[in-house]
Amino acid sequence: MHATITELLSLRDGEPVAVDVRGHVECCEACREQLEHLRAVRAELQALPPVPPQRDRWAEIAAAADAAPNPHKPVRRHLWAAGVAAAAAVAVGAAWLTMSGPQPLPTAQETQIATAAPRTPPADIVALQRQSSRLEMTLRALRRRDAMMSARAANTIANLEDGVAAIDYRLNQGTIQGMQPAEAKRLWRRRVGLMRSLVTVRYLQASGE
Amino acid sequence: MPHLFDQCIDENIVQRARRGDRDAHAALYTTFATPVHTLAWRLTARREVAEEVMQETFIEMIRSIANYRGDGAIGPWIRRIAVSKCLMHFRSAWQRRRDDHEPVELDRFAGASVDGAAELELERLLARLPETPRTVVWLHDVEGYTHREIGELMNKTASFSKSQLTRAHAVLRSAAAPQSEHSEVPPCTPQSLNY
Repeated sequence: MHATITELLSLRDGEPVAVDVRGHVECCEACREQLEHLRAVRAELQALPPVPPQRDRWAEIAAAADAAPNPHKPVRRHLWAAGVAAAAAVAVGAAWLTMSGPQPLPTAQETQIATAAPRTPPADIVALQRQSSRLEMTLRALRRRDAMMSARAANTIANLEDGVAAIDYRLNQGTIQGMQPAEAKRLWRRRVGLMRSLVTVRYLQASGE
Repeated sequence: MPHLFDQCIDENIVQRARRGDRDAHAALYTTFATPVHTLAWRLTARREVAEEVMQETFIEMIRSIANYRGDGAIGPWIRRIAVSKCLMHFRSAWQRRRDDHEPVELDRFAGASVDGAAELELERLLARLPETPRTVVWLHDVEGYTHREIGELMNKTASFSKSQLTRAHAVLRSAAAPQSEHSEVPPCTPQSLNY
């Protein structure tokens, strides 16, 4: 029985091989030939010449590195946006408390019901949530290939993402504090609109337009 | 042969690059653009993708070099980024759809800096391999990665890497030497082997 390619590769690479396989290869001309061939292919692969890029890309790389947010560093713009969102939330909360007056604390039974059985959102909101989810998936695929990005495009994307983040904040607050279905629907519709714009910008970037 | 990523770099340049000096980043780009592009070209077999991977690699280098601890040569560190970018490309559903619609254009290899017909043929054979065996054979046989390292990069096992290397060589062998008959045992002729 001849040695398999796997066994011959192990021999070639100095990895452990069964004694009988090694013995066979030592006395088998065909296997030795195959072993030499595997060595030759490796040497030929290693000898393939380098392939330089077609043109100098440094200017684009430097511009993209300047434009794209660095995930390894805190981004001041996002902190600023979060600060504004938090301040707005506090202001809205204060206004709401002023208008509505002191609210009775929920009874234990109400708390239990709210925890155990969250309300199912209306069908039109569910549809918007699904649309939003599909757009998220498309965006994830597009984000992987935005190798180059102009400063203008990066700024547009950042603004859109800030808009989405602000809506998410309000939706999250609504989940905690309660929100009218009409308002939730308006926010979800707005989110889908922003996501569509993001997909469009990302797609144009990905297409090099 | 000396490896493309084994380039001598002034330690001062690396330190400046870590501090965010854009001239030092440019110096690293100048030194490693061809090694990174070559690696991306061999792994992806597509010129546009190789250029994209090269750009992504250097953007990532600029972003993360502050975290480079300097406990190894800078070349292999940049190579790790490039390999990671290639593997991310393969994993991307978006890229996969695009690659499906844009098969490898083998004529483009005529434009590569390959002199001999044999080298050109090997380039073509390599490009025709499916991406996983092509990646494994290049990382193992040329870049010197171990099967364990390749397995970890691909979220697989060392055995997976071995099987992909076998697959690559089986295809390269059948394409390069279709006349090879390895089914009948010829008479044994004992010789000493130099492994």
